[in-house]
Amino acid sequence: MTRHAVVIVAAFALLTIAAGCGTSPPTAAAPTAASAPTAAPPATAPKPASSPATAPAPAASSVTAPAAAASPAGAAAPAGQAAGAAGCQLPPCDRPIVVGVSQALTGDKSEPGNAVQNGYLLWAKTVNDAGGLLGRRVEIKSYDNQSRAETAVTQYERLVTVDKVDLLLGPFSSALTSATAAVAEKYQMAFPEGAGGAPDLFTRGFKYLFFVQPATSDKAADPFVAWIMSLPADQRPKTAAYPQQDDPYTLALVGAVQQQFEAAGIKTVYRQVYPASQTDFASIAAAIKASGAEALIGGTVVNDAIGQVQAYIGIGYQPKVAFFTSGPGTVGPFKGALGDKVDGITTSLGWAQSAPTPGNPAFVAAWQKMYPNEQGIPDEGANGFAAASVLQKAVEGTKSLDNVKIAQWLHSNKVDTIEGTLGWDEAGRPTGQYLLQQYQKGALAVIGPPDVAKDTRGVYPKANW
Amino acid sequence: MNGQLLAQSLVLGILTGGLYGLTSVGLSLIFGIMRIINIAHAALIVLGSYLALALFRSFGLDPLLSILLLIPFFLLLGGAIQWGILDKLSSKDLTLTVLATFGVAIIVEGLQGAIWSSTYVSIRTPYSLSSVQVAGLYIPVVRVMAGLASFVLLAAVFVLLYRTNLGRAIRATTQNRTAAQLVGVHAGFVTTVAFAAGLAMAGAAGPLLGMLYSFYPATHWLLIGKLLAIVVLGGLGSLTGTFAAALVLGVAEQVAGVTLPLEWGPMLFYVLLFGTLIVRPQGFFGAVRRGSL
Repeated sequence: MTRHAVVIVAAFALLTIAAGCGTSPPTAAAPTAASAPTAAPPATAPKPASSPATAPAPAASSVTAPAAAASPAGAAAPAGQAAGAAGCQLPPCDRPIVVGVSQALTGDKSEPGNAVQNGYLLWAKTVNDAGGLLGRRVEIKSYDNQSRAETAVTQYERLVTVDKVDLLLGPFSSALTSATAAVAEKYQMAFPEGAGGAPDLFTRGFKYLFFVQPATSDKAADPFVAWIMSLPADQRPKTAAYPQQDDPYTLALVGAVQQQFEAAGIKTVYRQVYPASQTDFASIAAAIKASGAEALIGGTVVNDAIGQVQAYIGIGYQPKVAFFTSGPGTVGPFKGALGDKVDGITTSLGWAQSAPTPGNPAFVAAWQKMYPNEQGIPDEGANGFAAASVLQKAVEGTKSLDNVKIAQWLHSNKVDTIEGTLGWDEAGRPTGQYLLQQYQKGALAVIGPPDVAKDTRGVYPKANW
Repeated sequence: MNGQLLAQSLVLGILTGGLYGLTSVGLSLIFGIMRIINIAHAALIVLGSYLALALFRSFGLDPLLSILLLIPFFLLLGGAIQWGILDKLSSKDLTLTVLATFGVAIIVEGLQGAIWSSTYVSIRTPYSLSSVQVAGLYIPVVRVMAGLASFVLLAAVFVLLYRTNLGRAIRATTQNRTAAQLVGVHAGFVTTVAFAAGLAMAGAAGPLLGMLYSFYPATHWLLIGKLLAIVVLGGLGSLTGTFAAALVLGVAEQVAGVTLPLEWGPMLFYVLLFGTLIVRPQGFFGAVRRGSL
């Protein structure tokens, strides 16, 4: 039996090592359906409803806004939504338009994944309440991919080939979008997504991928770098630390900051990449404190941002400026965990609650009405809503569900979204800029770029956390 | 690496190692007496974390105090699992028993997901963000508390095992079940008690881990890998060996965290494990087993 034990431990060890080596997500254009269910137990989070190859239809959750079901089409269509009032414009009128999603509803990306999903659901409800899309009801069909890229790939395959959905929306995170965009490309399905902004995603010549945020992640921190450079030279931080999660979005973003900081003479005193499974940040905090870094640039997803800040507070590390890629924007959990310690923390977001962008006040009101118990609106929720609205505009613009036409339309038109007016280049990169935001008195305030922000005086150096 | 950073890592490592000790000694105890690996051990630790979180959220009960409620609960749960599932199978085939604990792990994880959802949570007490300063070192209060509580609980377990008749019976059954039965030890009862005690240690570790790290139902797969590595490294069934291995790996993890690339973190336990097994296949304290009576 002792031997059995060693064999079992060895199996765990190999799996762990394999998982550690395979940190970059699979990007194969031809995903294999066999990958998910055969995975060895330690890597499988056994939620029965999520293995697409074994679980039939009940695994999916469909959402229909009750208001739309109760009232005949067009009953409550506001002005500007003439389509609804005119009734169905796109037969078959008795069937809903089904939008397929594989989402990170559980697992290590579940916090932001659920936020994006809530954005999609709010969009569906808003559209249905207004009489539907081209007069037809909208339904979101979603699967939980457990934050795993290979599962997401299988689920998008299933959505297209088995469920035969009409439209697709992307999952959370660049890692998952990178893998699943290949499926959308293969089946020529337009793939708008609000949460896959790593620059690598747009170098593969894909024609159906559209990132619905103002810019790819390598440009996301540009307003932050510009803000630091706008400080008098003798006050700028002289050293910087770059702890970052192994994730294409964060690596590209933090890499771009590091490159620009180094070019400006800000010395790198700490740079480490940690796996997504990291939950103990004590040693990272101790090493950064010992390095004496004045600027802290955290490449975080959400939960690790909270873990990092807790560790810094616990170990007594006080940087002059702290920037995190994602996390501060997921307002509820971030503030819930850190309370008033959030003040002074900066982040780059595509969306701001206070931004005067098209439709934003209505979105904010609708969100607060649909999710009254949430503390603040997570930016991922806004990204999800914006991505779905872009898809809606393209369907309305082409008056069709032909995804080839939809993709062409998106390449040649600009769309008003709550993140501003967005257009896309030939690779699906958006052509706008992010907003630099800082927690001040417990709320996110836009402090850059100068042509958008009302007040560009960010707090520097930040107060102790 | 400067001296202060090293000192910081050593202190953090010893405190973390104590917690690893509490979690893995229970696993080792169960292995020693039943010759099965309780794959569900980490899932039950996470269950302890969730229960402590629920008690904290609903009644404001401090996680440290919730340990006092969780120990009797997990003793009963352990007794029920041993009596209801494992005992029935162990007479047929030991391998089946291991599979059964695997099933328990999956059921526990699934229930946690159904009840508490699968997003990250952690237990955030009013003192979660405080730290104590000793000789220029900052040590987070929760780490000190978790470490000290682990050492106290471990001491209690060692007193139970080495200073009481029940403990003697458990150790006797571990060493040689047949011989123990011959001198009048009720091996079935002792096995149930030992399994329940092992689970109680898991339950007690839950709140402590939950204060330190965020968790979701599937995190136990990461944890069980570490625990198995500790138990094998210490020598299967040797409680002192397990405790020593827990301290070694706890310190190694923290020191590696400030010296090695962080991608190495998850592999560290196994690299150390394989390194040790090549030199000393029975682990730190493991005896070379001879034939049974």
